[in-house]
Amino acid sequence: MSVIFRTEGLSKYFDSLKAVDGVDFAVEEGTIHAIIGPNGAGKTTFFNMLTGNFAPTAGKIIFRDEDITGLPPHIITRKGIGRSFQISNIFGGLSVYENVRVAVQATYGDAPGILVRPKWLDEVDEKAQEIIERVGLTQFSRVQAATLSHGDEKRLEIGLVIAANPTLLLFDEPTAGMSLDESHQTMDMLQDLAKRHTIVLIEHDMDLVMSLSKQITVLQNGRKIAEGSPAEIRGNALVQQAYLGTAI
Amino acid sequence: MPLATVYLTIMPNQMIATIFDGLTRGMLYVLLALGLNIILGLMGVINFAHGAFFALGAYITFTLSQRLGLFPAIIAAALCMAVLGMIMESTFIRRLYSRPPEHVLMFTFGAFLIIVQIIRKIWGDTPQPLSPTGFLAGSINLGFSQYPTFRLLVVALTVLVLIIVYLILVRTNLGLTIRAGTRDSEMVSILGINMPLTFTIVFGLGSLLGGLAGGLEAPLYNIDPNMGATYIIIAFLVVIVGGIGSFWGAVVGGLIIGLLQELTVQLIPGGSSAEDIVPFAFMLLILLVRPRGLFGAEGLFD
Amino acid sequence: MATSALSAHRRSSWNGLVPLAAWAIVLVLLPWFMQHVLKSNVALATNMLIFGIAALGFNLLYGHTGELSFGHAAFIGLAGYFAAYQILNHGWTWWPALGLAFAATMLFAFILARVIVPRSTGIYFSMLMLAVGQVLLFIGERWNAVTGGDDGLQGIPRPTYILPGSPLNMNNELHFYVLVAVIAWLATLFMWRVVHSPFGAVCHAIRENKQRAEFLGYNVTRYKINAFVLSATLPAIAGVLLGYYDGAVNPGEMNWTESGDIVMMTLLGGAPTFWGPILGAGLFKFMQQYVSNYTQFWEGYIGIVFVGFVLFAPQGIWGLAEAWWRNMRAGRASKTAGAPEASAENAS
Repeated sequence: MSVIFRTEGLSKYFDSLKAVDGVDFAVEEGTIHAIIGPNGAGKTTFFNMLTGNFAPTAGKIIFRDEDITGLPPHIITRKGIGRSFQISNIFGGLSVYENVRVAVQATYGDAPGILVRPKWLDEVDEKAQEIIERVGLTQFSRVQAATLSHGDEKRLEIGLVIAANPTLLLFDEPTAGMSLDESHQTMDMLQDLAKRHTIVLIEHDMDLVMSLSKQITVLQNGRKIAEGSPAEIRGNALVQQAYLGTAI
Repeated sequence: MPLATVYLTIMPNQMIATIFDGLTRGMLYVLLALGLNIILGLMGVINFAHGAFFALGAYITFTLSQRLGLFPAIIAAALCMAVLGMIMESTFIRRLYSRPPEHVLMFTFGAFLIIVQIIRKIWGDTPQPLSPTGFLAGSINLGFSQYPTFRLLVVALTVLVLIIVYLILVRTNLGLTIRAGTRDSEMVSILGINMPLTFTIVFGLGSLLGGLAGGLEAPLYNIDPNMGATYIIIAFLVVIVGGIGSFWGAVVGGLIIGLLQELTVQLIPGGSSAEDIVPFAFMLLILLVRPRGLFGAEGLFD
Repeated sequence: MATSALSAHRRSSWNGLVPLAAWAIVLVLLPWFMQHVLKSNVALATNMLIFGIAALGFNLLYGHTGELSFGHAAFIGLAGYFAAYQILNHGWTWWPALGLAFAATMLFAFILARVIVPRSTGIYFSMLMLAVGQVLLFIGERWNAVTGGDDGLQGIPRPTYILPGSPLNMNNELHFYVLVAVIAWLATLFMWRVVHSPFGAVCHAIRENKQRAEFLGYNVTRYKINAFVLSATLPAIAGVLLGYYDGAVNPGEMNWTESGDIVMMTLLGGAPTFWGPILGAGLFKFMQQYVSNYTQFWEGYIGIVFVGFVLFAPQGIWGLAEAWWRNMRAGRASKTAGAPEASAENAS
């Protein structure tokens, strides 16, 4: 197993607030790696730097031995990092099929195809169908995305993310606001995705984190305070302190 | 400005009078732009209807002044515009807050067209002159020259209104809500402040300032149904120059643009043909140096 | 299921043939309809089409990509001035005048797009475009030597020679209509291809969710710049046609209220639809002429209709018709079972 993704001393300061402060972080290929921490620990800010929403104040982001620090989101996406958001981020006014088709199309470059119909359009169609099937939305293919249920919207978003065939998947609280049932379905889906992709996730649901992840990184006040296997984290005194006695 | 220096040494009195004219003109822009800015901060949208309220304020002043006298007519017209603004916000615009902001923009554009046509229907297309009457008709010796009393009233009244608006913004709960609402309306509603009522009042306040600017404009220049279309653009430029959502931006931006226009018209031969371009040129200059305007804060429009 | 949806998409690229053929028939019948049913004239039909072309272009940026420009009349005016200047001062004929005006306006649009699009979005973009239009308006009003000032440039003769051996005489209103109709149909074909191309699909994605489009790997700013430039093509052509139609260009064509008219046409017809802007422009121009026969305050009445649509039917007339048609079909389909149809297809 090799390290596919790492950060070195990654920091983001907003004026005097050190939202993320000198975080070293490494993900091994083919694993599920969770980032946990109390509210305001800097987890989402950390993610936002990884995907290029903000440029870091200091530090480096390295993906497959390439420095991707400060690149804009669309370039980072094309390098093979996909992101799912806390609130499902889909194209509400388009049909499920159109959603996935435009996601697949992104992997075929920017040919406008205005005057001549590109040959690869049929291929795009086939791949879009495959992905819709893979996330289990075939019967909703022609339904407007905004009318889907909460859980189905999440599946669609995951479909959009995997359409780019990313190496690394970043999930920001994939089960936020879900019913217990939907949470379990999402867990199964994450486990399924882990067979093909490396996954980094931010999650509050400790059961999910403990049962799914191989490695856990704990952030508090922008700093990394612990890292290790679920068992190690469970027994870590600092972590328990950070959560103020919350059972982990 | 070497040309201005020349004028200042040859004809100091005329130069000072020109500066005063520029300031009175600027005062109108300040009032109009401040009203626009308050509503803009609230809704995140340029309110085109503001230009129509400005014109309607001028015309109502014109009609009422024949019965009430000029000064009471100006005040009454401004209050009418406040009421009209509040009615428009609470009946129509409120329905659009949940929509994309372009819909509010389009609504105010439609309202602008309708009000301008109503003005044409009632008062006709011919420009109407309105002269200051009574004690406002005379002039006062300011030492350097005689200066029209009405222009001094414009300055005095605008300064008074600005102080009141400033105190409202800084000292009252309403002002706090306006300032907070400009940044984060969700947070304000969490605080449990009655947002719908606040929105209506703020819209009324903004419209009041627009109507007041119209009433004060009427005796200075001729009034015609298209005046709103011209002035709304200038007010919009003042807002951009000063910075969106900024009180001092509207004040400083309005005065500078008024002054620049007056100096161009009176001091440069043939300058009146550049009168309309000056505000745009100034805006481009400011945007190059300070993209968010003179007093612009981060991010309202992003 | 997979194969049926696939073939549905294959079919959709052919689907265009039916609406475009129908549109050609409408164009053929329109003069007759204007004269004998509406008791109006051919010239009005020409005017409707010219603004239909402009609004169709404008809507690529608004209805399809999600950015509202309050300054697109500037492109109409600018192209009109370029053509008129060359025709009147250098005796240029139809093709070179059209070519130069188009190229020059597109160059302007290209530079403008690179300056404005990366720096602004949403309402700020609308306002910057408004400011651009006003600057051009004032230049038009004041640069007397070139633009003719407030009077504009007058006395543009209709083109006499368009194609070798063509029997068309542009001083005949019906012949001029034929020219405009052919251009309108080609413009529609072009915009149909744009909207239904992979490029158009990305525009729709950007309209729905800029962030997600970016996180799919699309350079959103670059797509918006391209959409901006493409959306100026048709107004530029409309501007030249309008110059010939009126026999003059004047600075008022670039005023912000004129840009507002294009916004109104598009919203009335249906911004989220392909055909809405053309329908809206036709209705607007017809209302303008019809209502102005009865009252000089026609703008107020159009304003009332417009405000009504903004408040109660922002999807516009074509959007209402599409929704009604979908409900009819869904009603029929639900008898045989099945999920509701997607409403997003921007086609027909």
